Amino acid sequence: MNCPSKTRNGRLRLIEFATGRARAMERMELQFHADSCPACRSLIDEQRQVFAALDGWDAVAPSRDFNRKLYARFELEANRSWFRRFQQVFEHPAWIGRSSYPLAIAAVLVVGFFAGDASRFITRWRGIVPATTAPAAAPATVQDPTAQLIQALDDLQLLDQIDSVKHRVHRSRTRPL
Amino acid sequence: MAAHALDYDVQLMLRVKAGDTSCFGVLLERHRHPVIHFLYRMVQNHAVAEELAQDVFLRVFRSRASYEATAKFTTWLFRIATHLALNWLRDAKKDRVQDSLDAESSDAPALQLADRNPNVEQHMVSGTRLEEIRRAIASLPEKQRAAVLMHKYEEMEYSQIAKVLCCSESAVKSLLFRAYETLRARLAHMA
Repeated sequence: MNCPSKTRNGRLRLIEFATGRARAMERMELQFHADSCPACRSLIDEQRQVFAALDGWDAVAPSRDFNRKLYARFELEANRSWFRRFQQVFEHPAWIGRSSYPLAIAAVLVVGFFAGDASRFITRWRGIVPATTAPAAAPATVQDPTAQLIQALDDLQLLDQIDSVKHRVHRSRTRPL
Repeated sequence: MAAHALDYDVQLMLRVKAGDTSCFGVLLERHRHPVIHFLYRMVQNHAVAEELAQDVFLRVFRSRASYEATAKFTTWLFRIATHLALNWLRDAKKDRVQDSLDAESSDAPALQLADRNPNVEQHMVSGTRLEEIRRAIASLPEKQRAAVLMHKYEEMEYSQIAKVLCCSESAVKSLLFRAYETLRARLAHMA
């Protein structure tokens, strides 16, 4: 058996051996080798010391109100705004990495562009309809500009009359007896 | 799918997906501790670890409708947890850089940063020893740190760590190899 401590994979095998998680056959093989190899024995001993040190690091227990806080967040979640819901689509675990935001925005813009211009784009591409089409007739509700101006002047005159009436009423009330 | 047919967590999650939200409580009880422990060792701040753990379970619940049992449940769970922890560490690093730049550019007194040490724990366990372990883990690059924590404390296989970190098995081996080399240099004298 070649000395495992000489290669990266071999050293990893020795680390696995030190964890005690190596398979039975491999464990026997490595133990047999380490008994006669000071380099491997030293690496295994050092690795066991590292694991023993790491075992001394106990993580703290969760706080008592962890579940209560979590369920409160669920309730908050149920009442959140539509914009926040939209944002959370991009927080889905499948979206790994923050580059998803610009990608999503770019995708929305592209879809919006094609949706807005889809029919013209498709018909022009297929050559079914000529590129230049006659302008559509103006909607019936759009008024003539002159008529709009006359209407505006009438409105102004009406406002002026209301204002003068208000002024006269105010003067009559404030006139000394 | 067949390989995970007996995975109890997957069955629970599929029941959550089907609308049985009581199963989510069971999942929470089963995985709350490991997730908080992992996040605590990653960010080394209890309050932040709990906040991130809540985010993890919130995202799990939020994604229940789209859940597919394509891998072990814990792989998915730790993938979310690792993703959130790495983001937090990245943001914290940016903030520290910004703080140091601000401190350099002004004559204001040095900024008082919050003590990241868990004081109660420090008093309970031999302080200097724990501090040394904490520093050794904190000195590792974030991905190496995540790989070591999953390998050592969660006893995950290389293949599972690879899925969590979205990389190849050989990349995981490389991460672990370098991490343990560093830890041996720093901690081997402690036992």
